[in-house]
Amino acid sequence: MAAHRLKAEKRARWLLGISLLGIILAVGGARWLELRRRVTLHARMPEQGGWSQETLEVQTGQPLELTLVSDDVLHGFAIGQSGETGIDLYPGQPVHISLRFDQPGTYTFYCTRWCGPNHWRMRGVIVVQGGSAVPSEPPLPPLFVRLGLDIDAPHPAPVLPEKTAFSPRRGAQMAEAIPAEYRRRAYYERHSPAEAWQALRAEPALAARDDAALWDAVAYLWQQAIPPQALTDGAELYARNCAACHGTQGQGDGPFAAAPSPHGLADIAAPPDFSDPAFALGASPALWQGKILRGGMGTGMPSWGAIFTPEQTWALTDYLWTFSLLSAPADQP
Amino acid sequence: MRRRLPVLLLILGALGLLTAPALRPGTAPKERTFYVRASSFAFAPAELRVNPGDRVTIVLSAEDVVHGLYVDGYDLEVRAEPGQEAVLSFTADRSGTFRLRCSVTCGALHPFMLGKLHVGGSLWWPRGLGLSLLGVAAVWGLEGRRLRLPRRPPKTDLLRWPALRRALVSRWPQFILRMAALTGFLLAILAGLTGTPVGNRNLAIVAVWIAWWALLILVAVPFLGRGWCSVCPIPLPGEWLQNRALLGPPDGRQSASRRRWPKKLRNIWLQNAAFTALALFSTVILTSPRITGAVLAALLLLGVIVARVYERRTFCRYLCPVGGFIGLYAQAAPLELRIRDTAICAAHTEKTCYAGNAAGYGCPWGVFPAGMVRNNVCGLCFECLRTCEYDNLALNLRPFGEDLTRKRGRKLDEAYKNFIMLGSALAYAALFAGPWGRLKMAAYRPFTLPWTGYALGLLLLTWVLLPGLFALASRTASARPRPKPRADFTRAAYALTPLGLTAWVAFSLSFVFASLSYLGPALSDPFGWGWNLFGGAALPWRPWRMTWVPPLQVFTLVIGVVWSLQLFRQQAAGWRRLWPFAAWVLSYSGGLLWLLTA
Repeated sequence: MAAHRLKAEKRARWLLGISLLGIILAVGGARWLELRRRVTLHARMPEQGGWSQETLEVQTGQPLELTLVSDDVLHGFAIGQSGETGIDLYPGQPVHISLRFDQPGTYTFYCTRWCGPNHWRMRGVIVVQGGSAVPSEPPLPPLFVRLGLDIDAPHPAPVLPEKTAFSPRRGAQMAEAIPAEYRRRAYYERHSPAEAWQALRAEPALAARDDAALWDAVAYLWQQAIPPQALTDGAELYARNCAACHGTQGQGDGPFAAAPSPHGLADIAAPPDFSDPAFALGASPALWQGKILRGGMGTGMPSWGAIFTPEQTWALTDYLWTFSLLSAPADQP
Repeated sequence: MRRRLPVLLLILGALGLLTAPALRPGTAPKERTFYVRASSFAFAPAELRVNPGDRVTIVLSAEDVVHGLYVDGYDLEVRAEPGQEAVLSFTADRSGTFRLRCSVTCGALHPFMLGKLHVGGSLWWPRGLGLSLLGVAAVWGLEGRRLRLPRRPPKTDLLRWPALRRALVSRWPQFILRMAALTGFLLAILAGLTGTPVGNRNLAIVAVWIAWWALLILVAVPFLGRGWCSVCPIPLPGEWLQNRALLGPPDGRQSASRRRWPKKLRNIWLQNAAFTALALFSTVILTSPRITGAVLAALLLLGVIVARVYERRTFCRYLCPVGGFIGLYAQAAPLELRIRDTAICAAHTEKTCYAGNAAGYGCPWGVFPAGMVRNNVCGLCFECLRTCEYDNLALNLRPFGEDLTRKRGRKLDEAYKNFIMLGSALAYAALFAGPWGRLKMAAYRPFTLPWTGYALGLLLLTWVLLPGLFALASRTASARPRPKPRADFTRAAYALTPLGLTAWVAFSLSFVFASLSYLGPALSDPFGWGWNLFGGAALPWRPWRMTWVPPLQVFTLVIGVVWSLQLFRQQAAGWRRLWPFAAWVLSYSGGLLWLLTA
């Protein structure tokens, strides 16, 4: 009897030992193997620390095995200037990715989902070293640099229209009278609508037209310089990245427009009203693209140069005109 | 025929209530647009009112992080990111009140981010009220009428089945179940402490607060009483150390006798306090895997420490925060472990069931089975089955709630437990099923000023307001020439036990159906590390059968109302002595139903 009991007790102890050790070894071992070959990048709200690592290093041509996981709310992950919209990181649902860089350099990664007023601060870099860079033409500096524009200076429109509804269609009826140089993309990029209006006013061929008609002509110039695809792309980029502060209608009234400054500065400028002619018509596309690229300006405006491709910043710049000069609904392409 | 007429009327009334459409003037369908702002963790406006047939458009904007909006009953969903409004349009062709739920995890309290869509008003709240009133009428109207039930309803002794008896006497089946529970418990601790901090993707939260809680309150307690205590892993390490064996039975090397629990504390006041304390921090515990893991580990450790110092299962009987209410509600269960013949026990001088023998340990719960008339302190460990030398024990299937008709041995601590449970069910219904974001945030930030308000409110409700109003009812109903308020209060409060149990069932239904789909991912990826053990890691969250929930809640609670009133009636005959209790019960159930279904 006693021997029988002892045997049962022994079996029970074995069972206990095996199941407890078993789960700990199985869980711990599997986790250890996983952590050994993968880098885990945690995403948290910026107020809680943002990305768990802000610098990742990898050798050129070598795979970077990443496990991305959000610890609180929906975040996203994308590499800057890749033109891609990013991978959504649902809380507690890790995503495994493998990245490979063929060119040494520093790449920016960033959060692609609004996760609070400081969302745009969720950025880090991947430093890719070793190997030799394929020699290529150094890229041109951005247009605002080449033009020597001071993008921090105020840019009031020297002239203002009496009405704020413009008709590119009516402007198009004057197309014959407008010299070809105004219709070039390069002209659009380098001038504000007010400057364009002044130049048209000085054109003898248009001397008979009234002031309002010339504003329609400027709207026509702007519309024909902007490819329709840029407006579609720009609208999507704006909604994803800008509207949270600048507002869906560009009036500077997004949910984070009134958010307290992350710098703790008392006197921070609210986002401007893109539909205000005095603000919008005095700015050139080059100036706006410069602001998007560089950011800063003592406001909460982030720098997007490392995030967007040049095509994307131009698409955004083009799209901004739909709040002012190209806002007439009947004339939307 | 005359006898049957009232019964017939009651049945007709109930059918009428269940099939009647909500009373409201017919209105022409309208276009309605709502601009709903979502921020953690509330919708503003939180309640949308439309008429049946209206064309509803919800423009959702998110103000901090990405949120979603899911409409119960309509199974529709829309998501919005700050700066990107989203639009949901539908025809409100289903009447009733439906919860709006955030559908994109937006932080700790995400599962409780709720709103309401009223399509012509709640269907089930008025029905629930009507049915409760009908229940009162039934209990009152059938008074004095002899229902043709035998005096002592027959009980079935399950031990007459030799296979079951063998399984219970053998330690192995119980040991296997306990091992499984302990393994799960340790996994939950491990997941809580090391897994993802996102609650709804962590096994600790999902397995404990959704799966375990649902099984406990919906199945184990109502049908098996203390059945969970039979396999609960928390006291096991302590008990094994006490016994110096896992399986036992004792081999003569019994460990030195330990201290008895202080006499003053041999009641459930500490458990009452422990449950209330947990309730004050419940919002944090329920949503944070780390804290859940720490609480589970602390309970395990406390179990060991208490077992080192004090004898037997002192922890279970006097300290376990859930043990108190399981014991209270076990009295309603249709299962009991009792002796067969008192004379045999009286003549048995060794009392091996209490003292233990070579076949097993003396009752770990410190109970002498022959003196047991209620389920509250029997842990269903079946040790007495092993130690009884005369095969004098029975495991009876019995009518529900038989213990509650026994008037002997009623204590104020257990009477008070009723109010703690009723009060916390009410508070939780407001907190976790209501649309009030500020209340949720207050409960979520311990030791801040708003939390102090929440804590005071909860304490007042559970310890002062509900028992105070009940004392008033008991006073009013008293027929004694010289009232004994305290004795009357204690005696009467036991009749609230079914109401409390059904209140907790009704409250739990509100989140179990909605959160059931968290189970697949949490089992497949218990730590939130990207595993996929059973292929369910990517299953989406989707509330299940939400239209069943309000009727189930109403039915459950109406059963509780009638059952409790029936018990009140047995204690004190006569409408004059019944109405104060009826008023108390109806106000409570009406309030709870309003929070849950309106």
